[in-house]
Amino acid sequence: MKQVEDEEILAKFSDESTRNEAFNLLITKYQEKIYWHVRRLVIDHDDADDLVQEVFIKVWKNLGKFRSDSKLYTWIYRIATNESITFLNKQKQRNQTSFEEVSEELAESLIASSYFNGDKVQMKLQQALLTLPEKQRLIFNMKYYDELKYDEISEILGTSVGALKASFHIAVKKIEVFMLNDDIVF
Amino acid sequence: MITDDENNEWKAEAPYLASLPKENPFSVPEQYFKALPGYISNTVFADRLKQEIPVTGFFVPETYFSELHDQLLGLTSEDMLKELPKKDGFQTPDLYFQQLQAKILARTVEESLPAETIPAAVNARPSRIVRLWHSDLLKYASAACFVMVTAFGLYLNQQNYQPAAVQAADMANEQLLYDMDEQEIIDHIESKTPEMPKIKVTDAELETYILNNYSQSELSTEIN
Repeated sequence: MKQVEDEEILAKFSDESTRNEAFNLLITKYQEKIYWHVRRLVIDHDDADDLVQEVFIKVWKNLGKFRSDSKLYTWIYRIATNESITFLNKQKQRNQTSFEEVSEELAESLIASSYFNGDKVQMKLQQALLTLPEKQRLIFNMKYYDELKYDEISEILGTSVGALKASFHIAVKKIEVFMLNDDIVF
Repeated sequence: MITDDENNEWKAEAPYLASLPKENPFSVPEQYFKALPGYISNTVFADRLKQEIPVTGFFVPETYFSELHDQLLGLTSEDMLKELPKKDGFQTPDLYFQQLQAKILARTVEESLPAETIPAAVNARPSRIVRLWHSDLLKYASAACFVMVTAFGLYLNQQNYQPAAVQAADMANEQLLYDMDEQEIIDHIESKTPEMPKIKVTDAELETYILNNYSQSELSTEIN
């Protein structure tokens, strides 16, 4: 299926008669990327499903105000990131748990999940990621899995490129140590 | 390419991680991404509806919710009552209901006939026996009170008791004293009182004694 250009989507969206069509095109183009970005953060499929729908509701409400000073993709990505972080923070507040406890809950959810097909190594890698602070995990996911540029990540997170590079390299080292630790087995 | 360098420079620092295949271990339900656009469109539509039509159109009487609480409590009390087993806890003597009918019939017969025609045996209703000691507790309590009162009385009596001989002797002594002359009694007492030895005390000893046993305020009061 030929990918529709962002400019075409925006143009169609600005016209009320083609707005719904534009929105459907936008969903089709970005739903998987946004879904996997959210899923890697919140782990659980149902949580990710809810959040993705919330993200696209916000996109629908605010796309008319989008000024093209950033790419459409990074703009949607930013909304998805903020929604995911808000969700994780709400979990902490609701259960009055710390970051470590939320990470433990996510790790347990990962082990119990019926929508995880990875082998032991993949499980260990995901567990390693869950030991990282939220922002570090975000940066690692966007760099390692999505292969975004530091400039794009900087646009999404509002963090300087230098800080992003440092954070990513620290994350990589931590994961390497975790993966090479034979005492941790899944 | 810059992107390749950027995305590869970390590999030297983490060779093991770099060696792992970049797979996505997560999965989704079947047909999820095919259905997702529809779910999203429905959600967006519902959200729009909520924004455009905030009021549902339904309304309730003004005091409805304030009264609802009490009504629900009342209902739950009724429900609770219904769930309680319907037993009153009262008991009747054995064969009570079997005998009751006969008793009622007998009384209705009595009341309908004039008194002379009713045989004495029927008329003579068995007198109602009221047992005084119907309760064991009452029996034991009465016995205990009786024992206590008796014991207390005996105790008091013993305190006041004196043998007859002692009583007679006391009476005789009193009579003697009454007959004797007063001056003789006084002289007798004085003669029996031993003389107190005269102790010689020096002034210094006296002074020390006074200072040790009397306070300044007491001394000044005495002097003044």
